This record gives sequence, structure tokens and C-alpha cells, in this order.
Amino acid sequence: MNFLSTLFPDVSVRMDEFYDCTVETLIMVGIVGLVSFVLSLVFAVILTTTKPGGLSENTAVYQFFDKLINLFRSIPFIILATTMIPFTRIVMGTAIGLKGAIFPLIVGITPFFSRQMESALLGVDPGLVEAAVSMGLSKPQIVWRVYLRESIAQIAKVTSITIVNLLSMTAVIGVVGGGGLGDFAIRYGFQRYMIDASIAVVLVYLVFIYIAETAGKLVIARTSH
Amino acid sequence: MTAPESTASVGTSSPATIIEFDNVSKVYDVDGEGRKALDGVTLAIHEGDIYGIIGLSGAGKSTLVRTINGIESVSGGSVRVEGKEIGELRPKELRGLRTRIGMIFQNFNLMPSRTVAGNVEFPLRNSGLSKQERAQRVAELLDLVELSEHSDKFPAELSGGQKQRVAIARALANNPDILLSDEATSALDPLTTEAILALLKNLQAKLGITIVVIAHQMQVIKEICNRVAVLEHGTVVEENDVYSVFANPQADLTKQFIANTSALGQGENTATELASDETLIKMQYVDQNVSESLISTASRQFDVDIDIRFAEVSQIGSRPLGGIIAVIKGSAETREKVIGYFRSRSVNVEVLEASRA
Ligand SMILES: Nc1ncnc2c1ncn2[C@@H]1O[C@H](COP(=O)(O)OP(=O)(O)O)[C@@H](O)[C@H]1O
Ligand SMILES: [Mg+2]
Repeated sequence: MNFLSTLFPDVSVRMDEFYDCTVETLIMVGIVGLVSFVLSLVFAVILTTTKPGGLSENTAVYQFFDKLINLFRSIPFIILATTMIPFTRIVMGTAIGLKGAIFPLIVGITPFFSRQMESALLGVDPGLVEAAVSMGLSKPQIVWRVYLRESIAQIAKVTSITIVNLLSMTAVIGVVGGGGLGDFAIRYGFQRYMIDASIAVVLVYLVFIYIAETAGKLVIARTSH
Repeated sequence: MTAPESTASVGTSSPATIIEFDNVSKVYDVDGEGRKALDGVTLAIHEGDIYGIIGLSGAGKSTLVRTINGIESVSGGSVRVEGKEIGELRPKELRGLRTRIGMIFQNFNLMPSRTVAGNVEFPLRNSGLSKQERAQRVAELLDLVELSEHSDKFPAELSGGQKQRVAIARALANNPDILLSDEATSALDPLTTEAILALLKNLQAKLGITIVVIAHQMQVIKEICNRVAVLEHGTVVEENDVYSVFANPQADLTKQFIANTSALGQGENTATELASDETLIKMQYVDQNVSESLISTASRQFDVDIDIRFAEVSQIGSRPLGGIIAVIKGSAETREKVIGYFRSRSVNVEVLEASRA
């Protein structure tokens, strides 16, 4: 402990707060990741099945979601997060802290995640889909048993990429009062020149990223044959 | 040269028609322009047939075969399978029909994330069988294609031939009446191709199913089919029983296909310079003994030299088909007579090259 307090004097006197911020970031990533995972999967399935030549080709639906995702993806996250503050208040009741961070993070990461998921599903050999159609499977069965099942490894890969992106977004959201480690780094590291606070936050992020990537690789290894 | 339009079946007690194409056409929309893939295809496939569809790449073979299970819709005409008009089926009925039409592909299309057993079980999920019954059925099927010991392997661990066997077992899972094979042996080496074709033929005999075989090689057709349709630019240019097609091909494309498969065909191209009194002929005959004695009889009777350059007997189904490439040497008049003589003995004679002298 002595060693740590020498290296990180400003953090060690705020250990409780640092710990709380770390937990907040984890909760943010957990909730946002989970909600966005489901949403992105749905969007990706819609895009994959309605695209020209897809299972349920529908140009209008495809164009709508395609354009919507592109629109949100083209907005830099910091601008999205600040512009959204009034909406966040309506949806979540508050625009600050953990609660206030979750909504903009979901809106911010889902377009990216959806594109990643879409590319994972596009990796499924069309021949497999054709075979499933020829066997008389219904469309929902094909989505479930072919598209999703056969792209588990790819889905794991894009999920770990997305979590790394999401982690950096959680830091940005700290700037607009979103809480978590980003908030900690801004308040102490940036505004009060406590360099060790910034470094500690960076180290925790590195560990998180390492965990996300390793977990992704493990799933890929277990599901690839 | 035009192809015979006849789709009449051979034999007296002709089996029922199971697949019927009636003036089927298909136009794909390619960047706003129509691309005709099928143009007025009319064919009848009978129960128990191993029916070959041959054509060059892009001829429309896949498109045609995919209209049978409704994977591809038609732009005109109609496809009837077991008396049902495919275009009029509701989605649910169509899916039901598809479970009774197995399909195998050039690239096998096995699910990489599932084991061999898992792949074979895949189409059984909708069958209403219990888990135990499904396992039982999978075991039976794997036994049928001789892959029982590989049931827990993943497709990536199998050879091409083994993959196609798994695909065949999967296609047969729901006891289909019809098996569609879209270039199923095109990605396999010749030995494996032989084995897969033998398996298909065996299965047809054992299960009495109807098999539609797409190929771009006449060898495949010759090996297992009883009837064949030759497709060119979306139209049927020739349709007949396989033996007749080999013995007496009508369309130019068919002749090319046959020439490419037989050594006889290659022989045609090895013709040497002909002297002014020589004619190069190709003879095809059904009865080998007759034809050999025919040649000696003819050379004695007309006092000409008949020099056999190449001879071959190939097996089509269970019937032998013989071929000879020979040079007749003699006066123009005599050569004509010899050819006439052969023809009178129902030998199919084609003059490949005659000196103009
Ligand atoms: N989905 C498609 N969209 C547009 N054109 C297609 C499509 N499928 C096939 N075609 C065209 O239709 C023709 C016949 O194709 P196909 O039936 O695959 O031929 P084959 O199986 O004999 O090689 C080709 O010209 C091909 O380019
Ligand atoms: Mg094809």
C-alpha cells in the first residue's frame, strides 16, 4: 500500500471514490453493452434479411435502417452526447451521473455495433442459407439456426471490438458529467493537474480492454471448428 | 440441326411424371435490364428417373433445377411437382414440399459449426420426431452413406467426398421423393466422383427416388443417368434417353460434349493427312461382333482398304456402345458404297474428313 501511495499519492487518498468510479464504468459498459448487443443484433438481422437478394428482400425497410444507422454514425460522439442532454432528461429523468450516461451511450454505440454485427452476419456463406431454404426451414428458423448460429465466432469478435470502443466512449461521457472513470480523470487528472489520477485511469482501462479482447478470443477459439 | 421435341418415355408401362416443366422461362433483372436465363423449357421427368441436365456454365441449369423446389420463381410457364403447381403453393405448403425434395450442392453447404451428426439431424428438427427417434434416424443415414465412424467430426475435418456423403445423408433425412444434385461432383477428383456417382445410383435403386443431376460433364451423365436434357442459353436443344443421345447426338453442343468425354472424340482430332483417295469416318454401333465382321466383309466385298485408327467400347447404363474411327481407301465411288453398306447395317457413320479429289 505504501508503494501505491508513493506512486499514486492523489489516487490513494481518494481510493473509495476511485473504486466507485471504476464500478460505475463497469456498470455502464455492462448495461449499455447488453442493451446495445440486443438492439444491434436486431438491426443487423433486419439489414441482412431485407437487403437486395436477402431472405425477405424489402428495399424500403433496408434503406430506412441503412440511412438511419449512417446518420447516427456520422455524428461525433461528444456532439451527440451534448445534443442529447434534453432527451436524456426526458427518458432517464436526469442527464448526469451513471443514469444520465447510459442513454447517450446506447445511442452512440448501437450504430457502430449494428454495422459490426451486420458484417458478422454477412460473413455467413450464402450457400448455407440456400441449403436451409431448400430444406424447408422458415425464415425465423434460418435466422436463428444459420445466420446467428454460424456467426457466433464473428459476433464474439465484433463484440469485443465494440466493447473497446464503448470503453473510450464511457471516458468521453465523463466530460459531460456522466460519471465513471472518465469523470474521475477529468476532475482530478485534467482540472487539478493530478497526473497520477490520469495514469491510474489509463491503467484500469488497459486492464478492461485486455479482458474484453481475451474473452472475445476465448469464445472465438471455442466456437471455431 | 433441331432437337427432337419428344418427351415420351421409353418402355410400355411408363412410370408417372413427377416433375413437369411447361414452357418455363426466367428473366433476371440485372441493373434494370432483363437477362434471360430460361427460355421456353418444356420437360417431363418420370418417377425413378436419374435425369441429367447438362450445359455449359451459365446455360441456366441451376436456375432450372431451383424452380423445382421453388427456390427460384419462374417468370413464365409452370413447374409441377407431384401434380402440384409450385407457383401456386402457399409459403407453408412450399416449405412442406421442400422437406420432401432433398438437394445437394457443389460446395456441399454443410454447417461448419455442427458435427456430422448435427448436420444430418438439421433438417429433422421440423419433422416432429423425438430426440431419440432423430438420433436413430441420423445413425441409419450415416450408415447408409458409410460415415458412421465420423459422426462426431466437424465438416472441416472431412475430405471432399466425405463432405458430399454427409450432404447426401442430410438431403435424404426426411425420406424425400426427389433428390436434386447441382454439380455435386464438380469439386471432387475423378475417383471420388466415381464413388459419389455410384452411391447416388445405389441410393436410387435402393430407395426408388427420382434424382435430377446437373452436370457440365457428359461423363457424369453417361455414368448414372437414364435420360438427359441438353441446355444451351436457357433452351433445351436436345432431350432423349442417354443411350440414344450418345449413339446419335443431334445438337452440335451435344456432339461437342460427347467428343470431349470419349477417347473416340479425341481421336477425331488426331487425323493425319489424308491421301486423295481416302475418307476418314467415325462409326458408332450397338453390337460389337457385328461391326468387326462388317469391316472385314466390307473390305473384301468392295475391295477397299479399311484402316482402323481407333476403336473404343463404352458402357452406357448396362449397354455397350462401340465406336471406331477408320480410314477408307479406294475410289470415290467405292468409298460411297462402303459407307452406304455400313449404314444399311444400322451403323451410324459420320464422315469426318474426305479428300476432295
Ligand atoms: N440471381 C441472379 N441474378 C441475375 N442473374 C442471374 C442470377 N442467377 C443466375 N443468373 C444468370 O442466369 C444465367 C444462368 O445461370 P445459372 O442457372 O446459374 O447457370 P448454370 O447453372 O448453368 O451455370 C447466367 O447468365 C447467370 O449469370
Ligand atoms: Mg450452376
